[in-house]
Amino acid sequence: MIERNVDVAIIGGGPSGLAAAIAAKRSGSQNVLILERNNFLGGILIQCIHPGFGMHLYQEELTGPEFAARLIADAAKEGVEYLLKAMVVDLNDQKELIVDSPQGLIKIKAKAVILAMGCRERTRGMIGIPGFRPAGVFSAGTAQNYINMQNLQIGREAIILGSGDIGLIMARHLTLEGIHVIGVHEVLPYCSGSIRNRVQCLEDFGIPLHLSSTVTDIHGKHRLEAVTVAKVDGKLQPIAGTEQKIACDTLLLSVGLIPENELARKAGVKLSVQSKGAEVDDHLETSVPGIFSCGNVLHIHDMADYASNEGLTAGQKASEYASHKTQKVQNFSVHSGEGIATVIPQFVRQDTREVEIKFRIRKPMYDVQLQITNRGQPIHTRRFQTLLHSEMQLVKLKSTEPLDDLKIEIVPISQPNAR
Amino acid sequence: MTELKQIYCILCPNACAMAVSVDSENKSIVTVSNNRCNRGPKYAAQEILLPKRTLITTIPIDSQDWPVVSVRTATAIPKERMFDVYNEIKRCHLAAPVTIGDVVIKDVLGLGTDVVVTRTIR
Ligand code: SF4
Repeated sequence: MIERNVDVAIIGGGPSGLAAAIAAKRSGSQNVLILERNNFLGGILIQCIHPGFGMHLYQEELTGPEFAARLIADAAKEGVEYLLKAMVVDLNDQKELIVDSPQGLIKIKAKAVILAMGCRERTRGMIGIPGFRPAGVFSAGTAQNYINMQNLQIGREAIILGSGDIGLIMARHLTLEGIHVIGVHEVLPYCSGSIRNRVQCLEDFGIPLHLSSTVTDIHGKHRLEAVTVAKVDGKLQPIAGTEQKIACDTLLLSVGLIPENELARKAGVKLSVQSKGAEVDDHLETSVPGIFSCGNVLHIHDMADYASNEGLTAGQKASEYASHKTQKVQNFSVHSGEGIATVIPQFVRQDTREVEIKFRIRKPMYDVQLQITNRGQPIHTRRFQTLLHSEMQLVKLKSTEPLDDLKIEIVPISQPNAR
Repeated sequence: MTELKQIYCILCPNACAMAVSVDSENKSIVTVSNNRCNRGPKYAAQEILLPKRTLITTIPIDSQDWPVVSVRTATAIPKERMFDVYNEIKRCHLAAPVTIGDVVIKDVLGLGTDVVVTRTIR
């Protein structure tokens, strides 16, 4: 088996992995290696051919492939190395990787490892839609890949289940490519995607959005022939008598994303129940010293730019760890209170006085106040007329004292001092 | 006559829900509020007078690696011309190699913008 030593090994060459590699190089690491299982760099960006990328990193609105090309060019300029068709099959807590590559198996010993594997889509099985298993049922990302990368015609009449951003973007894209989108059904009483996508993907094309509505049955033996949709009640259960059979040959599922953490598990990295990604401190270091995590494998982002930004942080911190400028230290929990669904980082290092907190709430809230305290003292408040679950929130905190007892919660504005 | 409209600014993820009053005779804007930055009113004016969007799609390509290459309009085009431009683009066929930024159609349908390749394929 070929053996190699590197300073920083990065698993995944998508928007966060590429950014992490760039930052690791810029922070002084010599050998920075990206391991990418596909035969191209850029990850999911390559099939996201729509604009909406790069506004934060390059101050320009780019399409996915253009954004990827910028990142790849930057990585090349910095001298980042990469291996394609390289599947990491094992990772342990000593930061040793086994990679299945066209050159055979490679054993890599890294001083620091960055997890940047991204996420995958939830499937029909995971949401338990009964009925036959005909052709014509796709996850939204698979349909996107078939159309934008393989040039396949996937159907003629489509229903989309789920109003997440990918579902909305695909509703627009199908329409443009001549596939009639009958409607988008969302089980929740509100749209899960951003307002921006709702406006420019649905309203622009007059595509109806049905809230509190879901697919309850699938018809057709070889090819999808129809779906049954039904209204749901407050507990998201279908309401008897509201079923409606709609003829269609295509069903797209945009029902959520899940961080792909099998390798993290193998290395013994502690995962969060809420975010389904690793638990990290403000250096994005996981519970295993020297293993860092960023991008969608850490938590699901709304925008690739944010995933890349996180990659920049992970790259810099991993590089500092690899050169012994930093090490694992004691850290303290960030407590999340009322209304908070996920918070990143979950821990703050003992010496930290400045931290960027990202959080997501459970459901849309109106006229509320974000309240962050440290050691019981308010250090940040912000009022929101609307706070959406579909948008990750970002707060920068700075204090003269160590941020060793942070609590973050959302409170109604009517009781401002509630704690 | 002034007409009150709600227009979401979609220039950035803030998606400000702007309250816009419009002079319906000459399609001009009287007042805008609820915008968080000054790009909002400009967007609202454009949205009332002539809404524009960037069009993206793919073009078949002769290449060993990929059957299609992604393209975009270099700048936004009038929304109502989207399908015309789409049909125009779909008449094209390319051969590798193509480089990101290559112009496929110059000044498409006289709209003052080019259709360009968004991915390099060797
Ligand atoms: S008005 Fe400014 S801040 Fe608001 S959505 Fe538009 S560009 Fe963004």
